Amino acid sequence: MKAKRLRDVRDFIQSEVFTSWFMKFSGLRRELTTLRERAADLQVQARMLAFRVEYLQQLGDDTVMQAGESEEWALQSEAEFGQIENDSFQALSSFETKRQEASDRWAALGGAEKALEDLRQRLGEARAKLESKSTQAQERERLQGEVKSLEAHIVDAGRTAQEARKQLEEAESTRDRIWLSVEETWSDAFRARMASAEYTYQSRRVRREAEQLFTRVHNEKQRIDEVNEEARRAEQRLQDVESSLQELLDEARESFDGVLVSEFMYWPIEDDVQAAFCVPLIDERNLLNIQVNALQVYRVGRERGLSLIEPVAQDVDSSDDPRLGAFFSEGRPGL
Amino acid sequence: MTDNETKSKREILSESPLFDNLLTPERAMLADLFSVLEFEPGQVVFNQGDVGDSLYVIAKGDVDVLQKGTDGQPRVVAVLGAPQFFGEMSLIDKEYRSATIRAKTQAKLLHLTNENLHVFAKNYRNGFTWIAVNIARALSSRLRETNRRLAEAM
Repeated sequence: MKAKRLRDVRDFIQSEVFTSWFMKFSGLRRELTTLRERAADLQVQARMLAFRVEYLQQLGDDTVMQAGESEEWALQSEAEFGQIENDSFQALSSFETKRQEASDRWAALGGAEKALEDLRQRLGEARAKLESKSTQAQERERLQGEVKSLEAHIVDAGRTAQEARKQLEEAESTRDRIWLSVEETWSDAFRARMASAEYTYQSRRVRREAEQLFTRVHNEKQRIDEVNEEARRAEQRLQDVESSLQELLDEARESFDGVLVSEFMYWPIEDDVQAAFCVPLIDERNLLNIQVNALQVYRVGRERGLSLIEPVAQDVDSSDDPRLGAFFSEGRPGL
Repeated sequence: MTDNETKSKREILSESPLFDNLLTPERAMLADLFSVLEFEPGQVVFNQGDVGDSLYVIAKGDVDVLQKGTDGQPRVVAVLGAPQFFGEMSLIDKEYRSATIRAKTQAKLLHLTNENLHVFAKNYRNGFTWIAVNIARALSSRLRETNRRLAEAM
């Protein structure tokens, strides 16, 4: 490798052979950057999709279980309704019996009260005759016996009527209590019937949701396959471009009379055994001691290389620099 | 970094009194040795007490200079704008930063490290001398101003 002067390096990087090579190099690097970003993005997409599929699958499984639970509740409600309906028939039968009994008691009370009323009427008539002045002594004696007899019958009839009223009240109370029970049973039956229908609807809806989730799982799995295929193609293209770039670098290493690692070119400087010219093939703003531009000529030490990269100084004739002399002899320029 | 940015750096450096009397090739190399840094409002450039070995020239925007008071709370003691510079004291004495610098607005700063100044000094001895003279003048000017204020206060 021949040491170079600054002019040689500048002429070289402006030559058609180098600029043509550099165009290809820049194009491949740009494509490489885009492809790497694309490949990484596709991998992220595929992983996120896989995660989503796993989540949706789990959600679908849970939803199917939930649909099963709703179906179970519907069946339980239906069975409960059957039982309650049976109970309601029995309660209604009991009510009918009690209703009839209350009706009989009411009739019995009516009879007892009528008998009591008749006895009281007869007692009144007997007393009226007894108190009449025209009633003969013999007749008066008979009436007195009748009055005593009627009074005794009235006491008995009163007791009978009172007993009949009590029995009627008990029968009516039992009848009303049974009726309340019938109404409660009907209310329970209504609730059970409505619950059964609603749980049946819920189970259908939840099963539909599960089906939709499984459809999404199916679609997302297809999308994963598509993304994986796209990632595979991007990876293949990436390898092709990397290979082309490597070939281009190998070609440059063979044909350009300098050192090319991968992103910087170096040439020994003709009249400086400690230093080398360096031409970046990329822009780098953050990781070197200065911000460098592609295709600009810089200087590096042969020991340190890129550890310290310097701009190339333009020659200045320091032997004839009038500035210090002027500073001391003519005063100081103001700030 | 484009050619326009490099040109812009040269123009900004030519406006700064820190680089008075430098020749065109010297300014050209300095422009390459300065890095362009951008700061959002409120972003700290460096903190009081940090170890410093670099100077900054303001290309665009304003920065606050903050110093801690006796209560330990930082207070704004000055606002600097283009093409003023700061950090030159640490470049000379390698001491800790005497103040915190915080971007007041969006700011573009040119940054020169001690290492890169050394590169300049190796290549342009006379140019480096002028930078040192200009820093000394700036420090001298500040010292005179401080003395004047002290005399007025007394």
